[in-house]
Amino acid sequence: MTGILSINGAELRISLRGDEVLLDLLRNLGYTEVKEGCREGACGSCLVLLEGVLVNSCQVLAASALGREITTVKGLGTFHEPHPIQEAFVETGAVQCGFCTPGMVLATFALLKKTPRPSEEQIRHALDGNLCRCTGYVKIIEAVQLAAERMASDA
Amino acid sequence: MAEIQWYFPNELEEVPGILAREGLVPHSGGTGILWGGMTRIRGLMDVSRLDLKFCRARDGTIELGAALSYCQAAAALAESGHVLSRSLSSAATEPLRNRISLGGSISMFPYWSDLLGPLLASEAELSLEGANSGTRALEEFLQNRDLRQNTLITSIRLPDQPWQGAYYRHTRTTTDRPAFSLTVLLRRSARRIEETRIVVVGCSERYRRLVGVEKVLQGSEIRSDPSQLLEEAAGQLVIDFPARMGFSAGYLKACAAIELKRTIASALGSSPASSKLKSGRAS
Repeated sequence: MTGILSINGAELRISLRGDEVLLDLLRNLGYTEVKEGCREGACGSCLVLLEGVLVNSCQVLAASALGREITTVKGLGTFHEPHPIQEAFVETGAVQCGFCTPGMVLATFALLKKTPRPSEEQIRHALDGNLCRCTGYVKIIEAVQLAAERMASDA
Repeated sequence: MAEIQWYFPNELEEVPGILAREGLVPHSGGTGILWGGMTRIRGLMDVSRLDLKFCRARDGTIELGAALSYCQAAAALAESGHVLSRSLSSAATEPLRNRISLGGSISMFPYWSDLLGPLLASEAELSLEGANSGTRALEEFLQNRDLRQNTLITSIRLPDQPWQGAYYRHTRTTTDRPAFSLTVLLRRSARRIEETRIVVVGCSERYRRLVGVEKVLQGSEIRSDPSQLLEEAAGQLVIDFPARMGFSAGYLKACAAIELKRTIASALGSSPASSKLKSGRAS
């Protein structure tokens, strides 16, 4: 089947299999910032925003995303113009191997859109679908708090 | 394997014709289809263009559109303090709660469902479209597998009543699937328990309403120390579990007795649900 996907603002006409998951489609199109981890929806490495809603792309059938807007972590900011959340992750040392970071950044973005001033409990709840095997989460939570502070003061 | 055909109906009137196709499964975004394997599926009907993402209260009934995700339903019910909002918020993880839908979860009914306990305790009804269109009790739908054939759940209806409620899920870590869950609803006056409904999901029969426990509690006087009443109630718990999730059957049975007492105590101390719904449509 064929259809149109909007990825980070660019409209693409694509062909896909009916049983293909969004993770595979995105990676095959070159969006390798969407990481492949558990393929069970447990680790959060493959998170993307689908119409602004945080989803595990390994658990989304790609056909159900046709005609919809997808945002990967590269849609938030670039190396030269990083998003405040990406800056906060770097500054607090919340990035070690970096494999979980795209998912963490997107989960933080989704949280702060809904709850600009989250409590630590709300941060932990919002990141419950993201696994990090390096940091122990302390620096990640600090990064979310720093990003929230900066984004609130910029608003 | 043959290519899976997708259908994207815009109106409910199109649904029966699509559902009549062989090997057709409705899909509202959840993960159950992937988990169940897709080898026997010939077609998928995406229901996202249908008007099935709503929450409304009318004539003493709360009606939830079947395509609402767990997150959307929990948010709609959050202010009411309904036990369903708490159970849905505790399920899975945030990105999965954004995808798992009410209707899909009822159709699949996994033993780890955080949806079914509160719905069964509320004596929910389902609106169906397709081969079995009409209104059916949720329990009837779960018992009679024929009702799922060529049928789409379009909404879930709950009586809008001020139950006090508590929900418990038995897991090792918060994001685990629960080995079992307990839902306790009760109505009380200052001194007595007027009515209770208690449901276990995840036991050997998949789910069970604990009628014996309810009988002990109903009409009982509430004392400042309810421990004797809770012991009597737990004494009526006759239930078996299969071994699962690293827990033996005997261990789960012992845990269920302890957690039943705690969950009833928690319900006794909770506030009644109100009618404060966030009515409207989710995108």
